[in-house]
Amino acid sequence: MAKEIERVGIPVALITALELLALHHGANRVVKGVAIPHPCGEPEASAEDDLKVRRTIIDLALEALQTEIVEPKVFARDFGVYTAKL
Amino acid sequence: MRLELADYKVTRIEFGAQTRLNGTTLIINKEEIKGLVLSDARIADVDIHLVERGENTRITQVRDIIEPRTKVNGGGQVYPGFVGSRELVGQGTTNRLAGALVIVSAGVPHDEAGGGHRQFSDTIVDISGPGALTAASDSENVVLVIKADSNCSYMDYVTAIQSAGLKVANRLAGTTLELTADNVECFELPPVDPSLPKVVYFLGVHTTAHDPHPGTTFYGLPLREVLPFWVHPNEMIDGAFLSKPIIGSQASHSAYEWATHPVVLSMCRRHGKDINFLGVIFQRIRYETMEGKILAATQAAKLAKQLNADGAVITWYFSGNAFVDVMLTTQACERQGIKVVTMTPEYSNLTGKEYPLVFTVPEAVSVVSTGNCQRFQSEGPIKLPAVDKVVGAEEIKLDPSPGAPKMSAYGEFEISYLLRPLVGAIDKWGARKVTTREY
Repeated sequence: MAKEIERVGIPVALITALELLALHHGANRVVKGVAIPHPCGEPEASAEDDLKVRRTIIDLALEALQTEIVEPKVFARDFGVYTAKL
Repeated sequence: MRLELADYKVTRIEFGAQTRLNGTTLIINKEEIKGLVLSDARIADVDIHLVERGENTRITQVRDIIEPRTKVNGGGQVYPGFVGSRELVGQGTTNRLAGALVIVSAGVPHDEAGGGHRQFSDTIVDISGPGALTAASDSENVVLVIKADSNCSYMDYVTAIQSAGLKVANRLAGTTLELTADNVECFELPPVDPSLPKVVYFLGVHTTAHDPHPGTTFYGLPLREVLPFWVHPNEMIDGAFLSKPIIGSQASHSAYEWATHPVVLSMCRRHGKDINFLGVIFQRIRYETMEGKILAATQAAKLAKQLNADGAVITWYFSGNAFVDVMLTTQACERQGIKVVTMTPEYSNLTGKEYPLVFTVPEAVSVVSTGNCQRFQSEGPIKLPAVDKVVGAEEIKLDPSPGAPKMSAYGEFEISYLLRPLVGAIDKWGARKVTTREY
């Protein structure tokens, strides 16, 4: 879906726990989520900490959308922006 | 570790006054076996039926298929943790009934109550016809139709129906004690010609972390967040691994399949002939983070390297999430210089022409297909004819969606989505009749 939306000129930030899988399928702006059942949050953390994680990931996604890229990149809240290889 | 597996042939099963093996006829005292099942307070009722090989019969709501086995000596008990203690198994002598199976059929109280345990969708085993895909069609069968107590919890339901089948299987194998075996096969991994290629088997096992029962047990212990460990193949032959009793789902294997694991038995039998079998590396797959997947993959490869493996065979089951772990293990092994053969079914989607694997790595250069889980899309659904006899529930719901209609189990069926309700249709270890043709 990310690829098809980008094909019509709209940039896409894909939030996922499995960044290698997203890159494998051709996503360009991959935002590293937390885990497969809860990509955007930490349900086991306190409500305040959960909110912090959620906000950080959404901010990363918005940052990814505004970033010009020439090759696929991962945007992660721990390791920053990097290029990953399969 | 040396295990003698002694076969006692069964060609007929009948009810009688005393539970015993008379030649190749297994005689069952119905009341004794009922009493054994009902000794568990979580079970409200049980009925026992006999189903012969080749009958035009459909067994419904099948939860497990079990080969009767019992330990004669060597310590522990077959199906440890459910029957007997958690003492180490895999040594001494195990007796098995060759040609007889115990099948557990049980309704789904939690689904009826709206609890939504969709994994427990109704399943069917056909004994003859195009849907006859399990070992039950080549065997004499004792079917326990169990009704669990309506007040028991989800976990109690799961363990009660599973234990019932295993206990009965153990009791029936007990009829072989003091008799002479028809055949004895010895399993052990002695030192062999050091020039033979050293091969390890990676057993990829999925777990569902959010389910009270994560899916697989080892000596009865549910496996959750666990890193790779080494298992002797004899432990598997003695039933150390078992799935949650939801066979028919692609997430589960029957006790029979675990104890007669085709890859394990084949590699044991080839040990010293053309390979040096180094044993089994259990690997939990379907971690929920990339970090977990990478760690489990590299740790599994580390174990294989420490065992001096030249090559490895990997199998797995469940869905795409778990397959990522399998590919990462393939990659980690190849980077350590260990050649890998990955066995996998294909998911070729609507047309049969889609890319069949959700994720691959460049190192995956030797992959064996065990069939297409979505083959109905290209070749049409499997059509099952009407049957003369039904054992188990006569009204079943093959579509697990809430509110889906119930149908008469006697009628014709078309099995489509992921072949899920038809036990044996998904054959991820390559045990039986499902194959893939290249054309």
